[in-house]
Amino acid sequence: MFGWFRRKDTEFNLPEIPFDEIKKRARLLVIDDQGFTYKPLFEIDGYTLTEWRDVEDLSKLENNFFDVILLDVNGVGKQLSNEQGLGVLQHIRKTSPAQLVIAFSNAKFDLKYQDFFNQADAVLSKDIDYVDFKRKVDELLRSRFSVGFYVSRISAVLGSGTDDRNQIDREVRKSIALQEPSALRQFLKQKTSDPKTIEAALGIAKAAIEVYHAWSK
Amino acid sequence: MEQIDFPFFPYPILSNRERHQGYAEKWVRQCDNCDRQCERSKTRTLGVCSYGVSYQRVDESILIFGVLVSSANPTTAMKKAIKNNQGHTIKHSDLIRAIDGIAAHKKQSTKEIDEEKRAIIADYVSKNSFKIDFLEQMKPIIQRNLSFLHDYSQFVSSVKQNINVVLHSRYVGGDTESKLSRATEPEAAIYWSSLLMSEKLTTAFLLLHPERLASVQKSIFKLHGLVLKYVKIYNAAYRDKQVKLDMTGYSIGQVKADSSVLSVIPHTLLDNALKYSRAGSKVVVSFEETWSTIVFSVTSFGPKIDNDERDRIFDIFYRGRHAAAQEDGSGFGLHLAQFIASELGTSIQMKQSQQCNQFGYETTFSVSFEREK
Repeated sequence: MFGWFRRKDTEFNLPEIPFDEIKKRARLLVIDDQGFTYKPLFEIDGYTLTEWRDVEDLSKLENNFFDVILLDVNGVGKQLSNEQGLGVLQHIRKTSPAQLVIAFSNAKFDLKYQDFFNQADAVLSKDIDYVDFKRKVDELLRSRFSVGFYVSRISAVLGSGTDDRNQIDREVRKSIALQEPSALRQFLKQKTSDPKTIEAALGIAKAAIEVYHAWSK
Repeated sequence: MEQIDFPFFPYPILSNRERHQGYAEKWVRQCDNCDRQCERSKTRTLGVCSYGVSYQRVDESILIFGVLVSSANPTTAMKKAIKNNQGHTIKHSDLIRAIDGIAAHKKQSTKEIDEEKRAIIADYVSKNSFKIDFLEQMKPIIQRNLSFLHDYSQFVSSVKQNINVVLHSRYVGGDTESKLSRATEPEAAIYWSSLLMSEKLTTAFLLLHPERLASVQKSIFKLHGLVLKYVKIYNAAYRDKQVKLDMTGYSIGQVKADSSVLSVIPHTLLDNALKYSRAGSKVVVSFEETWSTIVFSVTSFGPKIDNDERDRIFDIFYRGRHAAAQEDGSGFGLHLAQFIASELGTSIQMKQSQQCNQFGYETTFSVSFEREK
């Protein structure tokens, strides 16, 4: 089972996933009430892209169904929150802390949207060229398939320093290899007594397990 | 109306509709319940009310009232009032002297206030804060007038995205530049125009959201790369106007700034150089670099900038008189570029040759940036 997880002493090595494979399996979602002009280009380039004019299925935003979500700030999520795109993003952050979200807007200079931009993993202006757009999506997809991304997210949730980071890295790798995060849970309990923080960190680890094992099937 | 205080005035006084007792004389008790005929008086001569009490207006805002002025021919009411307030009669000459005192006091106060005003204005101007305050005051007007920008921004994004789709669908392989080299002239023109519109909107958006200038998200990047991007964007527009655009010098140094904000500087300087250059002339973008600084300059031939307006060309909405005669413009580009430069701890300098050739006066705008180590 999972021959690519090779155990060397206490290290769990994870495979390098070729980008073509990542691209082929990746699920992108665009939520924009005005549609997404670059959809045919992404499709020509071999990506699977779903386009929603508004939030159509909230559960898919909560369970890491999509690898990267491009989210417009205005005109979407009105039923979820008065804050529209920001409300959707806040909901995603709360329910799925490992979800990658690109803030996608024409209002790049408006400070009232700064919260939205700050909470996103990347900010793209709608007037950006396709190649620049695709480059950013590729960069985030690569990070989604790297252990370092999940380690950084868990470190951020814990507010940990470099020493802990190495330990978190080991525990995340182990969780992925064993497909369950009990070792990480033990480590987290040593670091914090806050159950919400522990659950958030475990949620991120579970996302890492899902991503790697979905790929291995 | 100016407010003047009379803490030591000898007689009762009404100043800006407020009654003040005199230090030598209080108003007579008849004034407590009277119908204030004195206050309705417009003339500046001595008057006597129906209670026999005297008053005299000093000016529109000051009235002396409630006093008993001796008279060679007192009325019955005056006699009665004098009788009821014995020992409180004054001479008219004393009243006149007091009125002269008020005039002198007012003159002195006005002079002092004027001097104070002048000092405050000089201080305000010297600190340059008036420019920021002015922009702040202008903000609602600017916002009202630029509210269409959001719509324009969507249209421009749509044009830019669609021309991207055309280029990438029709010309397979290669980067955008390679696709543009194979594209038809109208396709390339639409692409470059959409980029230009987008950059102009960026400048306008910063005017709409000046608070963004104060909360810049800094990153480290190569200035040369940023300027090169603008040279490429403007190339087509320069070619269309038959103005040669050259780039000299090189810089490998990096700067620390918000690139989308700093880009207003090269964009504005290239835009202005193009606007005022005549067909056949040349614009040179140059770089000079030392271990600590990167100097970026744009040299072109354009209208004369008179000595008295060398600093003013950076003021908001100010347009050089010869430039305004030659081309339309808004007068906010250079102001915004200079404002951004000052936020980055530097400034845009302008030099102009005194000699004019067939294309105009050689003009160089340059700005020195600190290199990020």
